[in-house]
Amino acid sequence: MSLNNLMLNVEGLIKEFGNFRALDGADISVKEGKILGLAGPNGSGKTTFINVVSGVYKPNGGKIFFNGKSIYKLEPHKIVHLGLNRTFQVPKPLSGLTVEQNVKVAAVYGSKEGNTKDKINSALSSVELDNVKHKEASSLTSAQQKLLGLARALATNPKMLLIDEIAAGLNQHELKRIADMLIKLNKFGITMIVVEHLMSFLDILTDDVVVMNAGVNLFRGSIKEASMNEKVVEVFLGR
Amino acid sequence: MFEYTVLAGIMYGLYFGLVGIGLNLIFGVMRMINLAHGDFIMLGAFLAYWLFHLFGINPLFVIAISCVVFLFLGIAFYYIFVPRLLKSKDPEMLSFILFFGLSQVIEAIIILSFGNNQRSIPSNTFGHSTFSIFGNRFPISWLIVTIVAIVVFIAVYWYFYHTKLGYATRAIMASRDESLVSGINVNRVSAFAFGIGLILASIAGIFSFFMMGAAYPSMGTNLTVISFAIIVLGSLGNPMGTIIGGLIYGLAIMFMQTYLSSWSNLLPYLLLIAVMLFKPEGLIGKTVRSA
Amino acid sequence: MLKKRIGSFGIILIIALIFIFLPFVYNNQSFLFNMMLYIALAEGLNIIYGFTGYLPFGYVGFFGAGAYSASLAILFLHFPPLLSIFIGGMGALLVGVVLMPLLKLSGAYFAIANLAASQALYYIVANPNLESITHGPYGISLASVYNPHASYYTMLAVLVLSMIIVLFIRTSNFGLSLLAIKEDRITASLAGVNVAKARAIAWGLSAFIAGLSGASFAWYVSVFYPGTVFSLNISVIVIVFALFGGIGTIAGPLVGSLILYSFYNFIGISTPQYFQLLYGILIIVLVLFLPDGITSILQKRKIYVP
Repeated sequence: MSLNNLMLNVEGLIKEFGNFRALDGADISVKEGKILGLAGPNGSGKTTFINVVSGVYKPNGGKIFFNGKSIYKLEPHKIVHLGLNRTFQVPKPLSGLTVEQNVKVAAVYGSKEGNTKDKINSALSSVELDNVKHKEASSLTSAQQKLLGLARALATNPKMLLIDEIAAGLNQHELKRIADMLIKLNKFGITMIVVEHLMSFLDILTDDVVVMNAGVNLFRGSIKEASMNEKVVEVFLGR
Repeated sequence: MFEYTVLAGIMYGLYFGLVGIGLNLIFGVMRMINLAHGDFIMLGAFLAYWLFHLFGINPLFVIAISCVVFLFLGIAFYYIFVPRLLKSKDPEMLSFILFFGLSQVIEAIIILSFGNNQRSIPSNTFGHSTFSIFGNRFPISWLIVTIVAIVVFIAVYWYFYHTKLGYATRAIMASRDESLVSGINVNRVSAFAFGIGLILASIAGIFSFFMMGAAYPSMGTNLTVISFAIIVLGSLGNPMGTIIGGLIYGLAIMFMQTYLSSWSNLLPYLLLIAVMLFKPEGLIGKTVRSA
Repeated sequence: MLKKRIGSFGIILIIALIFIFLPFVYNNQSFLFNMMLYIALAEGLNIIYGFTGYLPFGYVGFFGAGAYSASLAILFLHFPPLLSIFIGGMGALLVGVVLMPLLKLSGAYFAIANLAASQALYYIVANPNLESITHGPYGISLASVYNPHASYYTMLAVLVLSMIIVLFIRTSNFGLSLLAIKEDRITASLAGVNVAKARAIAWGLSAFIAGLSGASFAWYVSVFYPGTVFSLNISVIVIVFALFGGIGTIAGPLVGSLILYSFYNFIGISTPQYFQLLYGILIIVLVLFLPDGITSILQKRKIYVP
């Protein structure tokens, strides 16, 4: 495996909250153009991993390389400008602004390339929110707000996305729709890490999964292998 | 001189702990900054002033009266303002502005009613004698105020750890939402805590004459800022931590007045800014905010 | 967007014309001056409070810093008044830069720390030890350059500038990025907005306007004390005016100042406590019943407020 085509390469990542180590030396990498599933029980550090990589939290140790450049301790907007963006498990819309304005901020400030209007339109149409673009973001359903988060991320012209539990709380129909959407985006060349609780959802997207526990990566391989791995089973079923 | 400064600083510090503790209690329970805190201190002072000059009532007895008056005021204000504020889109900021409005109203009413004059209660109210520690002589009123402050702290501690209401209050301070679902009557307990916060402010006001010389209607804003500096120094949301904040403030102000008196009025402001920027979690305890 | 800009620009033009010609038919110039002053300050406060949500309780600190910087430039450097007014704006901007770390604090913490900062500044300026520089508590006299007409029109220029800045922010992508920060700092940064920089620009503009206003005020009155230009009442009045009208628009602070300051002047200023009482009650009523100001009544009906 050559290091050249690693889109994201994280080594020994550490994040402490007081005395608690939420990340305790996680090593995770993704190749360009791939989707990596990130699973693990609650509190295993998946969301913290995304928060640290995207710059929302400052790490306490380790290395983070994105597209060959170190983004360790870089501010979020700089990481966004390099082409790495994310979504939130609990959507954080700009509530008082319209859907279109939400995406516009990202289109204007997220990336210098491309025409702003085009970026807004294509982001909104790829998440199928064009019909509500004049609505205030606070009036959207939770599922729509998640999609809006994805649209904002897309409007910044990302090379890679970190998707945090986008399927949580959605029904079967919505799940399928979002999975199709992500696959389509991946086909357009966006590398992804998808954090997910539901193995069935990950199964649609990828055959490459990392299982985390207690702030470190425990296992990497296909979902089938994971289900037969003793340690993984133990972690998921509890001891 | 040094010894005198330290001793005076400790006595002042305990008094200033009393000045700040009500603000911290209300902050802890409601996550709101009562910007009218200083004005309630002022109201306590004026209550004591009038009761003393009209009826000759000793300030120590005024404590009992103010417990009734301010508990009632606190509960009333709580039900008028707080539930509505908590429902608003930005309770923290809107409550801040609202209590500021309240502070302006209180100050204006007192000035319109009694004029904007300095008021005082003679410092020999508790007798002419002085007392001495290690050869340093202090007015007897300082000793009385120190004892009052300590008794109040013990009472607050007792309330928190040995009464049902105090237990519920601590639960709300830990998590309002969880208290709601665990069957605590959050509004009633909070209203009571608000009343207690105002009582504590008023007690500080009753004794302001002996520690700050005089009381005047527009003293409120200044006292609010000082109180806020003290509770940030101690630990926001942890009432007992206020005592530490008060002691640090008392010692600092005494040293400033002794050795750098012309700049001492800057102290509370610089202290407040410095602590908020460099040690927002206070000098003891953990942080209460995520910013 | 262009249409909105032209509409807003029309409002600014009308306000400017009113204040240019009103002195010829209405002889209470000091009322008109103070009216312009409060509108400019309310718009200046609007830049930081209306668009980023930071409530600068110590806004008067910039006003005082501007008044003193300009006065010292006139008295010690013998700069001409207009240049000194600019120095006043820069002085306030400098104070803004020094206070920039306060922007790390959120909500009410920022407000109270900013209040403390303005008080600290007052105690420094008024300190008798600095008498040789600031004249300490004894105040400043600019009798040598006293010129009510020139300073009146300078204030008008500052007013127009403040409204143009708000117009620009209200109708630009920069303004949109500020609103994004106000809504959610993290989401804004993940949209690629440099939060610290955008906030700092808004903060600096807001301070600059207050500084220019303070400097113009110093020139206009030409005799003042530290307590005059660092009075917390100035912060209070400006916040009330802006809140009453409604923040985040050009019209809100304008309408709020026009109505409330006219009212203030109409009743007379013999007993200021009546206004303090009235303002206090107004604040409480606004927070409880109309937290977004009177212009929000229109906005709720989907009417665009410039």
